[in-house]
Amino acid sequence: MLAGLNAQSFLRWPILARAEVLASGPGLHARHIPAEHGGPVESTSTGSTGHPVKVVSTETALFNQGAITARSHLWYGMNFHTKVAVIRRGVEDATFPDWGPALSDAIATGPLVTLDLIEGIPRQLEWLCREAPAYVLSMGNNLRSLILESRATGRKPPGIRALLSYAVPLPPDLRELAREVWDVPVFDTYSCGELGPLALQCPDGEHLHVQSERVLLEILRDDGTPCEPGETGRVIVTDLHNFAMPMIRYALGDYAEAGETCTCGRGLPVIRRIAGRHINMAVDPTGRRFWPLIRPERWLDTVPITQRQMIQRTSSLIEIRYVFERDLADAEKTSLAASLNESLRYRFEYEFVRVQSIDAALGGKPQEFISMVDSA
Amino acid sequence: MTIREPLRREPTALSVIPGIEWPARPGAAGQTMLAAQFQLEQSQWWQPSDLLDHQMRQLRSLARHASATVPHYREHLAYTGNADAESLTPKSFLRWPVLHKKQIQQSGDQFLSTAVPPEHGELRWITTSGSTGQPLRAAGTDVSVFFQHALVLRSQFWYGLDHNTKFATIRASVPDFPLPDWGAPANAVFRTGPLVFLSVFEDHDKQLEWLCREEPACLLAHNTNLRALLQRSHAGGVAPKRLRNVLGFGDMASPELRRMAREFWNASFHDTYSCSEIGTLALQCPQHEHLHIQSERVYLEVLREDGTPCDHGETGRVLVTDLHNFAMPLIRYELGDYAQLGPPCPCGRGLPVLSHIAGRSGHIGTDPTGRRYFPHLNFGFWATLAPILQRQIVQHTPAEIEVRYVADRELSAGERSSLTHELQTAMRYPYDIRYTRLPEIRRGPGGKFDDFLSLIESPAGKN
Repeated sequence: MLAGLNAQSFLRWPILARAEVLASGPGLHARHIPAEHGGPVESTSTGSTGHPVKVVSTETALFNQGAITARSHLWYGMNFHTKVAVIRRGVEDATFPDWGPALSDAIATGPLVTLDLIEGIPRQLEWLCREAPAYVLSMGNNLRSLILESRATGRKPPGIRALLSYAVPLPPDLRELAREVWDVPVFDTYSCGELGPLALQCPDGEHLHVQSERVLLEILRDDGTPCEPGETGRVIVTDLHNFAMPMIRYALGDYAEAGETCTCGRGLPVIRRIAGRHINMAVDPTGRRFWPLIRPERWLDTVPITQRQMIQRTSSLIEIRYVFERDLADAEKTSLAASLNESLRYRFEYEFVRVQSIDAALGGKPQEFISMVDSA
Repeated sequence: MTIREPLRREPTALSVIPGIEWPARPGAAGQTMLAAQFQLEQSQWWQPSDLLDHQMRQLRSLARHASATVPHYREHLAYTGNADAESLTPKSFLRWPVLHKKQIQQSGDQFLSTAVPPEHGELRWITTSGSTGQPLRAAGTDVSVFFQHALVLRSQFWYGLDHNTKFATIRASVPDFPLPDWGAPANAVFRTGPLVFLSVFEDHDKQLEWLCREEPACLLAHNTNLRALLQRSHAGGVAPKRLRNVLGFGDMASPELRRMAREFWNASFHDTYSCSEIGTLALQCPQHEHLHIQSERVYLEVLREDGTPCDHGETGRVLVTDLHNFAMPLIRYELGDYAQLGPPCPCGRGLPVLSHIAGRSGHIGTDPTGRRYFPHLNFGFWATLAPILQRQIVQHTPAEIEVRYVADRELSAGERSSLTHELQTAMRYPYDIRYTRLPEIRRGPGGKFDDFLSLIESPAGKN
């Protein structure tokens, strides 16, 4: 029966929702993983929609993720001898001798420096000016904030060749800002924690190419039929290589617009635009503005809540809306607050509100963090 | 806006991980070979100056090793004026003494490294075909053979060969049985079609009959043999129907040979310049008829008689250095060939261009004025002036030429007169030309067939 599976009949394979992944847990794990695949490896989980998901993967699947990352470096003509700076959540302020395992086994590279995204923008900019990397990898809206700060202060990191954005839809004015203020291009990657890179910006254009060697990515109408170029629909992805916890027709919660075949000659399908995954900046009473991204383990390891959303009401008060089978106990709330404050680097006050569901933002995913404070 | 057409065909790579069909994860040999192909894919587009920089890096490493561990080369670095290999430059390397085949034949042991790094693998011995009549025994390593294979696979990519099809080879030494796949290097990476062999010493009619029976999509054979096969095929009205790609080696292919392959067999022709000791030296450009030196593998020099480098358009003798053979380093090895460098290729590859290769110095024509030239003898008039099946031109003295030919009958006086006139015009000297009809014209020991043979002692005396 499986031998007869084709693109048409595969449309009838049931869609896997995030909630099911959460509910099923080990039920999605393979009982037997071929030894040659290596692992299993507990992979990064994502919390970008407020649903933290733990994923088990294999060394083979992770290798192929690394291969796509390496492809992106080649597509964008990156000079391997230079320094790369990464600003993302949960990393140390550190220096590494090379760009990491996806490449260092094959190619001699320059160093890699990392900084936690939780740092305020002025501190990030000061760090970039000091490190003077050739490439900066960070969330699109963080890159935008950095450029605006640079324009306002006149401080410009020397020697940047390109910006690499990931995780959130590219702010509409980021490319223009990057060109005007830093005179550099932006290369965007569409990725998720469960599967790694899903689509890379075309080296010859601004749209994204689905990485078909790694994932089967569908863009579907509400009735489940495939979108035509120009239509926007739900993104459904299948990891072609994860034999530890097969993610088949997994609904990421994103919406994307399908594109026409690319003129560059690559046969890889085109995504014109990604919708969803919005996030606001947070602020604390000292005036520090930062991206309030919490590593999912912070939530999962404390209380296994189903879904959550943070709403900053004032500069010192954050409301936590959560979906769970019961009210959180006081001890759980205290523990969670301590963990969050450690992550956010400020002693915020929290209000916990249990809700039935958390609505998605218009045309996209539920927002993980909403700011009611005028911090712009 | 130009829309690039996506590629339609691709080989089926072999995967050793159960369940992972695509992209394939080949076994260790396949991974290493693909890693090499990845580098070759990049480096072919580098600027010539970048290619030279990397060649010099490797050349210095080789020179360091050879100076330290190969008796013959112990003093060679001193000739260059460099205290150590790190200081070698293309200019100072011109003073590294030239290596002649005779030296290896006379004292081969002196060329063996006393300390081959174990990572280079086992010694791999070869005996050359001895196209100049002088067989030679040479050693390589697993590493040098690996890079030979890498260039073979590159050529298959360059010419878009379909690995799923049947491949036929006609050469001097062949096994007695067909193989289920194309063998190394392709079978380490791809699932391929079968490989069939035939000896070049078989009669041409038998070769042709075999080709028509086997119906391969790719054929590898000596250029001179291919020409004879194409002529037979055309004369007899029989042709292998599925041939798509013809890979020639030996003396450089003529425009006539390419035309015949296209017209008689509807096949693309791709030429290779190689030698037994090193393997591929230059491959035909995928977009043009000239050859690209394989700079990732060999350092190839074309020199004037005074030892200075030729400019584009000049013809000179060929010296090659195998950049990867650490068992029996061949450094500035004189092949006895003459070649002409061409201008940079419009295809965009930075690999230097060889616009012409004349083969051995025994293939260089001369005349009483002392002029030396490539006797381009693939003139259209051969076919129209006389019913000649096969021919060979032998120069006995600067003014005397013998035309040896195979034909069903003696040439008439009128045919001889016409041919003599055309040959004198083409070769730009009023040679004394005589004709000898033979039952057959034999190939050299390596299966090569010499179009032109000079029996005059080479003034350079290099062979």
